[in-house]
Amino acid sequence: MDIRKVTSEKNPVQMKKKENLLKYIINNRYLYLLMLPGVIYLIIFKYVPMYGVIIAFKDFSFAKGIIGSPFNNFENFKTLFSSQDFYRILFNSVYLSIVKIIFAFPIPIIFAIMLNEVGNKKFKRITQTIMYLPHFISWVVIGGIVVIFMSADGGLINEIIKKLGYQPIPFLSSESWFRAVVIITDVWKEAGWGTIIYLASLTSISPEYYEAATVDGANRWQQILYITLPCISNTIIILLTLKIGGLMTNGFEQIYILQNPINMAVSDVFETYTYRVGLANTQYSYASAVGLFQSIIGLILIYCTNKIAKMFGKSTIY
Amino acid sequence: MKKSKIRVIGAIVCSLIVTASLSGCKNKTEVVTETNGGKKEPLTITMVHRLDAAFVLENNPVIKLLEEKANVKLKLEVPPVTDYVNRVNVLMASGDLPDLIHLQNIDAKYQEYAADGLLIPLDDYFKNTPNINKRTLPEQLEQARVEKTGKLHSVPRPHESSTFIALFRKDWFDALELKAPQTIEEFEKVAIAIAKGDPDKNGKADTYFMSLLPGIESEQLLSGAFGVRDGLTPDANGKVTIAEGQEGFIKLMDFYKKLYAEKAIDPEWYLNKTYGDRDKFKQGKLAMMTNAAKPNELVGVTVKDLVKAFPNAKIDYFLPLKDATGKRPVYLSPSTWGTFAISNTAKDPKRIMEFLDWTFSDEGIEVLNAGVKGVTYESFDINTGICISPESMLDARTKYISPYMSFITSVKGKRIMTPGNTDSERKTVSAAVEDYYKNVNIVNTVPSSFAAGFTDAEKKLTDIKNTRDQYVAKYIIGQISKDEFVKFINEKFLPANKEVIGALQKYYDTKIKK
Amino acid sequence: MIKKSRLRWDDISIDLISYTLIGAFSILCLLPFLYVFTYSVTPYTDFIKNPMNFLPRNIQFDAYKSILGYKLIASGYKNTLFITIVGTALNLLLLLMTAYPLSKKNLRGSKFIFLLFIFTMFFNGGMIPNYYLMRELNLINRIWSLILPGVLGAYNLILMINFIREIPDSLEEAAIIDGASEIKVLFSIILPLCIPAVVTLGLFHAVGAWNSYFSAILYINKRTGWPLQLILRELIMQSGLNEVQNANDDVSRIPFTLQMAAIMVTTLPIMCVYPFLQKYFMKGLLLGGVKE
Repeated sequence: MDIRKVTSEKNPVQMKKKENLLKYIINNRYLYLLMLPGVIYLIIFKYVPMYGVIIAFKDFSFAKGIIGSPFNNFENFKTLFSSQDFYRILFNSVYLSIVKIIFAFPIPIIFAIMLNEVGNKKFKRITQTIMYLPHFISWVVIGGIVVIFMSADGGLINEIIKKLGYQPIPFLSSESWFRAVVIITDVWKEAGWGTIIYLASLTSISPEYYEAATVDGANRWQQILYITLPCISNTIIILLTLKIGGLMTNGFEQIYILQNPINMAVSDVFETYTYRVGLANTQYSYASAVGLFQSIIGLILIYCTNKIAKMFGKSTIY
Repeated sequence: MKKSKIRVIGAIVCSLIVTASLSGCKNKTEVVTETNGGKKEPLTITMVHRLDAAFVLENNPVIKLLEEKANVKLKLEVPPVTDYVNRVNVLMASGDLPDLIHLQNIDAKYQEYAADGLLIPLDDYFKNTPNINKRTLPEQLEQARVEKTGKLHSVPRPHESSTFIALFRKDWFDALELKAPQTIEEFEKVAIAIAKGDPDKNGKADTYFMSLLPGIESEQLLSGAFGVRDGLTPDANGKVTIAEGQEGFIKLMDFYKKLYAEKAIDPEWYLNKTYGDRDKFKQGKLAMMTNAAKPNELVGVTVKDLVKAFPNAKIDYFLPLKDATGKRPVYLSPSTWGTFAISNTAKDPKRIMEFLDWTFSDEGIEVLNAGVKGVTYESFDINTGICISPESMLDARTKYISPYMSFITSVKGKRIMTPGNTDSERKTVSAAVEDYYKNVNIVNTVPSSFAAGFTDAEKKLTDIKNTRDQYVAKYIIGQISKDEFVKFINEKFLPANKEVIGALQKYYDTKIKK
Repeated sequence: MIKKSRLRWDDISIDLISYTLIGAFSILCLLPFLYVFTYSVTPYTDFIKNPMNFLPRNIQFDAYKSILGYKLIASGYKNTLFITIVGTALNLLLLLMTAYPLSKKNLRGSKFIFLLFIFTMFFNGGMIPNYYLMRELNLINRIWSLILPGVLGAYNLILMINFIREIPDSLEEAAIIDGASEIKVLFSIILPLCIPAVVTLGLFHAVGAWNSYFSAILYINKRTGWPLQLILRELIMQSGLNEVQNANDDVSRIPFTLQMAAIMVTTLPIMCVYPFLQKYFMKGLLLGGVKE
């Protein structure tokens, strides 16, 4: 076997001698060549501007630019950590992300599996297409429709509740309902779109498995549990890892649209906070410091999740 | 090994950058020729301006006329209106500055750009700008003063003073035999009568007297009557403070709370985003449109849309309410709408200032506000502000003229162009404006931002201001008690604003008192 | 599948659950689209009177006429189509070429480079350094400045690598023993087996490119260079509160009907892409024991 055997994960080639390195690269030259354009792209478009990160440690001045602006002794971070809103925002952001992972993340998986079980091709095609439509409608519009449904003053849902003889529920203006509304609207808008990746993953399952299982007497529930789910578990874990890496981020638009002074105590997250600070004043450096904080935590989280996945012998992102 | 790899990559990157930048150099050379008779060669001005998307740039006869009359060549760079600030920020940071820069707001950013030396001081040039000096109030010009340099770094766009009135549904008032309120007591009575009376007669309690916008609940229509003063207007003891520090503020909030409890205020007013309250008025849900309504809106789109949908709707207006002494106090500080600055890279600031001065001249005003005679209008009188333009020119007018493009929209606080398309519309608006100035008690003041240190101190208050909005909203809808609310204002909000209030007091003591 | 002669409880329960669940959810998902469509063809006064309809009554297409008559729509379409098509093609090519070597865990340096990619998911230089870069590359005011910054993202790369790793090694090993180069293996063995992944990630990128506008704010300074979404944004104009105080508000608002028509005009084409790709998501597409 030559050194190309590296392509097999099961037999890693031991590389000990230095002189072998050149030979190694020559032997794998095509692989390195293939990734070269991507790596050059990475360096030029992502790493050349990366020096901008230091702005978070500086007191940015337009005249002096990023390099020339003076360092300000972590002043931006001190301001952030001493801000009375910071811990509330941190809590809100993380809490919201966690409930989203618990309640919204599994929905596309369930829909994908259900779609997989649907036998009627026409039904499947049509519903699949429809489910993916809301992804294209902006949050501004969705926000308007949400008011039509959930308003406590003439909203369709509350009209029904009133007809049934109950008190209307202030979905949009109570702290306790805010997270539920975020999850419901998130599922509504994005769950259909989210199924696509699982559907792609499902295509690789060979029908033979199901046939064999049927012969063995497994019912369809068992097939879902023992064939379908394990086959897409890799994709699930990867997406979950990425989601956990994004624990500090909640996206701006949805939250901003659903936010109002009454639910602000629970709805204020990093994105809306940075937006507010940015509106009020320049504070480039400060906004960058907030972003950097989010990023560092995100990176740590994704690293840990990956470690845990590895520990359980699951597929990992790297 | 690794090092050499990095070196190779580095070399590739460098060569790529070099070739890319070389290949682009060709189109960078500028050609400025064209001489104009005996005149000086036209000055090429590059400018970044905030213009709405409906305004057409290509082959615009108004711009052509402007270039001809002012002897300039205008190279406009027009970022999207909605994200204008981002683009200007990047330009400022990158040093790729055009000669003339329009800034959307005179704010902390403006101060920073100027203090960093990106915008040149214009004090000396103002000696040779008769038109600007004639048509700008000193308080408008003063807004362009930069704290750190003590100089004026831009030419603000003079704008109409805030003449806030309340538009209301005359048909609903008539149906319930109500009269336009003049005092707080009458206002309350009318509001409750509307809330209880089902003025649209649909049998449902779905109409309200008014709505509010979060964050700007305290507006002049009511606040003056409640004794809430402007930040630089003193009380009897010569003390100045922000609205929240004044007695009247809590009273006003109590008033809202009462109206809310009586269902006179839209139960979900706090969901309103920009224009939300206007949309509700348009949809026949509200009896009154407040939020910064101006006389021109009597003939504006909101009212026109409303009347189209509800042909029986009649609109009238009332003035800011009277206080206990029978006065209608209104605090007026001259307004501006953005500003025009010259960058430190501009080659000929003197001539650019001449151009700006031209835009403030009779001719400039006519070109930029009325357009091209025969194309966008038939006649224009700068003294009355009446611009006659037939319906057939409407298309050209929307395409080639825009208030965004004008460099001055108002003289001494009053609009240059009288709003309205017909004589009767113009009369309606003019009568309302006249009524306003005759019957309100104007207290002249200056913007709080004039106070040294005010802007800097306010910058730090994003958190607490946001919390304030929450408390106000929750208090009005009755989620928190008065004790909690007052405690927050007195023990949290006002102490946080100490620096701001201090700056106001200092400015008042040193500059205004004299 | 094997035909069943009798009704079985698992068939009934699964069919019942999946048909009702998916059917009901689909109806819900249709609402936003119906809402936008309804008010794009409804006279504006009807909207004012009743803003809660999901089916149109008095149909008229005036709003579409004025939107399509808007000068920038044509150039917007041209730009957006170019960004989407060229961007997606480039993205997929780069994605495959980069993901394949990186999918090999034992290839020296691959882990390091992969980590470099992951790092960029969280860290970036920000607006100003990116503007400098675009200027140095002389891309300001060029359509490539809207394509290149996002042409290869870590997120899609991770997914692509994951998909390639699912392909059994035995297939490529066989080819390599036969003397094929990795480049050939990638395009003749890996690619055909990754079609669903390529289609999915291509769709992700295309939709992202279609909806992107922020780069254009910073890098494009003429309106004819704007992509469709930026034009849509300008038409919808969610301008801030300052505007209310300052501007001549009569000019700055576009009626709701026009906004809805603008949304239809700008999003319908990309919505229509999916049905054509659906055949790649049918189960059992990759017949013949791809899984070991």
